Amino acid sequence: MLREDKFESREAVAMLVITCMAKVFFTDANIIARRVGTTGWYMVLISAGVAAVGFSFVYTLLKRFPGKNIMEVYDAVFGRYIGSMLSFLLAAVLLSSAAINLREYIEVVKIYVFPKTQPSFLISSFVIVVVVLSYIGFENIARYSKLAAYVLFIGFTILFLLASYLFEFYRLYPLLGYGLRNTLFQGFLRSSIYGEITLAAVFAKSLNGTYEVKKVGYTSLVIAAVLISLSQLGFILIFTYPFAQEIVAPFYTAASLIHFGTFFHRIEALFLFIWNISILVEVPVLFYMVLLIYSHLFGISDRRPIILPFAIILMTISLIPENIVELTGVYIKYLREYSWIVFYMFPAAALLVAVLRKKREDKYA
Amino acid sequence: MHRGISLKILLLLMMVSILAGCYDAREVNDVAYVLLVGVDRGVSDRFRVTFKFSSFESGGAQDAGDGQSQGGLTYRTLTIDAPSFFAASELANINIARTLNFMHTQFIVICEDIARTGLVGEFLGQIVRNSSIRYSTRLLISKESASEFIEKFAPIEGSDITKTCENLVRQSEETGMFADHSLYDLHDCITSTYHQPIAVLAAVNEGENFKEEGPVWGSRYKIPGDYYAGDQPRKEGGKVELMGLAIFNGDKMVGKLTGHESRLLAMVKGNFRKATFVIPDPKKPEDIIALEIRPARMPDVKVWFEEGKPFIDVKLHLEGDILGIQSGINYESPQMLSILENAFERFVKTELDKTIEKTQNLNCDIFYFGHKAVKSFATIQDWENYDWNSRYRDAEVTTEVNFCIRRTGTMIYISEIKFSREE
Repeated sequence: MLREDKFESREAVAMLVITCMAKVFFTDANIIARRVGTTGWYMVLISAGVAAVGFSFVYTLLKRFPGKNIMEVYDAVFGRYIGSMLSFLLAAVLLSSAAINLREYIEVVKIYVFPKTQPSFLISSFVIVVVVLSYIGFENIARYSKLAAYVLFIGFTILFLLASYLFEFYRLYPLLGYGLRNTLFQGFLRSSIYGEITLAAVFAKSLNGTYEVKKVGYTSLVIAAVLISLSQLGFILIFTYPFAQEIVAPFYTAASLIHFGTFFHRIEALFLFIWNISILVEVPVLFYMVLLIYSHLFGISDRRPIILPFAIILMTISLIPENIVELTGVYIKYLREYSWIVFYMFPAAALLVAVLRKKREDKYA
Repeated sequence: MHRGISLKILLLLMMVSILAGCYDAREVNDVAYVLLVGVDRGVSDRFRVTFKFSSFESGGAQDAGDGQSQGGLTYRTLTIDAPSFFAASELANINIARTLNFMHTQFIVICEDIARTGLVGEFLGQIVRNSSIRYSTRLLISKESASEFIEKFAPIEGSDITKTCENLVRQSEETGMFADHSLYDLHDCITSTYHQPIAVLAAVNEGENFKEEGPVWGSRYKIPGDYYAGDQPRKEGGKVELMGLAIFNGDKMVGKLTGHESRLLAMVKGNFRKATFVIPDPKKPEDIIALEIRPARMPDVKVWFEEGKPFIDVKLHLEGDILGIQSGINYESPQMLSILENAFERFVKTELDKTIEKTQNLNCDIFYFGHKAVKSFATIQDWENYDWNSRYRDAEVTTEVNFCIRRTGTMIYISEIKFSREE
């Protein structure tokens, strides 16, 4: 019998918000600027709207099967084989996301901070941390996330305020970017930014009931949407859209522009600190979710023996992209544009089947 | 128990060896921190790149060989011909047996010749691609050789180059005769669809424009700061100066503004802080009146379109104090004050109209009117199809200046000067 770690809803919210936010700090802002020009700040709100609908499917599905996590619900709705296949696909997407996000982080760090260090060395030192965090358990990752959330929020606020003197509001114009239809379409496609919110359904058993899953999911979504929108707004207020489309790590660059007098500059070190903490939450969370799903699939009661093999797989996947162009143009593009199928459409399909086949285990069963 | 202790000791030993960081340690004096970079057209290769860096040679104030020693710091200059900036940097490493580091670079100086031939974009592209050069580094356009500018750039007494650069740039706020523009600004403007770029003009000025002898100037009037960098008649002081702005069309320099015109530009853009203006006395034009001018509030700039033609309306709101009245006419009285205010308003409007016309002839919107114009366009496609940067010259611009004298300095009335009667 698997022992599920228990933690508070606040810890879960902190963990999910950081997991969603972390990828915005890398090449995502650049990609958004290339797709929608000046409208990234409200495109992410459109994405949040789509994600809210997607999460509603997840929550409604879980409500029909109280006390079960999403893998168990898939099994109950589709049967063991199809259910396992859907859970396996979810695990594959999460593992790929963890690996690709890790590689993206390493690429950016290598460009800006450690240009002479081998990526494999940077990746392996990071993976060691992921392994250690996985050994000490999910409960500790959640607690650490809550602690980190305060630091990150304070750091984010300081940076936003310090960079505000660079803001120029004309950069928001033309207000419709490359057209409203394009913004809406891209907003729908990139709703995967908030896909991690649905992880609440994977660790549902660590929370106190389905209602808490709902509370955690929607609260995380609202907080993440506001913060991501603010980040995008700050970014487009600093860089005109043609410039924004060129920079690899726009937020790091924006932080490096902060300059007050002779002594107060080079504060991107503070940003780097925030960046490191956020990625040190995101990758271990995604990694642990993979362990949770895998151990469910194969009925493994002790997760520790599978940590090291999965860490090696994580490292191997992260080394697959040959270069940053392939990383952003293929892996990141497809993961961030199409993972909504796994995050929202699989639960929606399960809900549809459950309704049609009248499968439920709640009080109305 | 023993196993635990052994593991801890092993971890401790591992940490000692890792944390010492001796494997690829790099001491401060293994690196040459480049403070100034100059770029000219090369003779033996595509570019001639000059680096000025601190050599860490002397602990005291004495000069060490061919380096320049200032306040305990010694600076060295190295010029190298190479096909690109980073090739020059690499070749320099071989020569000085230290690795050049650009983390603390203050100025990148590009000669006007390169700027006029449109090679700035090519050079800037190389520089901004490398993370070791910060976007906050300032970019200057030197009138003649950038190499000479770098060689002659010396810190003022009791300071170092970094501090001198910072203080020099700060004068843009004090005088308005140039702008504080960094690589970020230039890179942003080069690709911008809203406006065209500017860069600060710099030059060596060793007093060749200063005439020791000749007929005295008399009562003629010359607008202060109406010079380009290097043209100001002065003697002694620093060997280099920043004054005026280079105007770019894309990455090609097409014109320049004097220090005086740069002030007017700053007024319209809302970057103007304060400056001293000297205007002819409205009642006695052979005399002058000095005023300290500040913005009263942000300028009002309106841009609208009629049948595709842009119309621009600029209203400047300025205020100031009287610094000096050469003629001794009592302008402090309420009736006379408005005469002075009107005279200054006319002066600024005339000068501003001339400057706007100059930029329209070059078809370069450096006044940032495009920032207002873009609000009339819904999508980027509409905006880019209109092509504001190309249509700027068609704009009909009207200007208005409101000026109010707030204070009259420490004097509120001028008493008549009494002369004794001549026999």
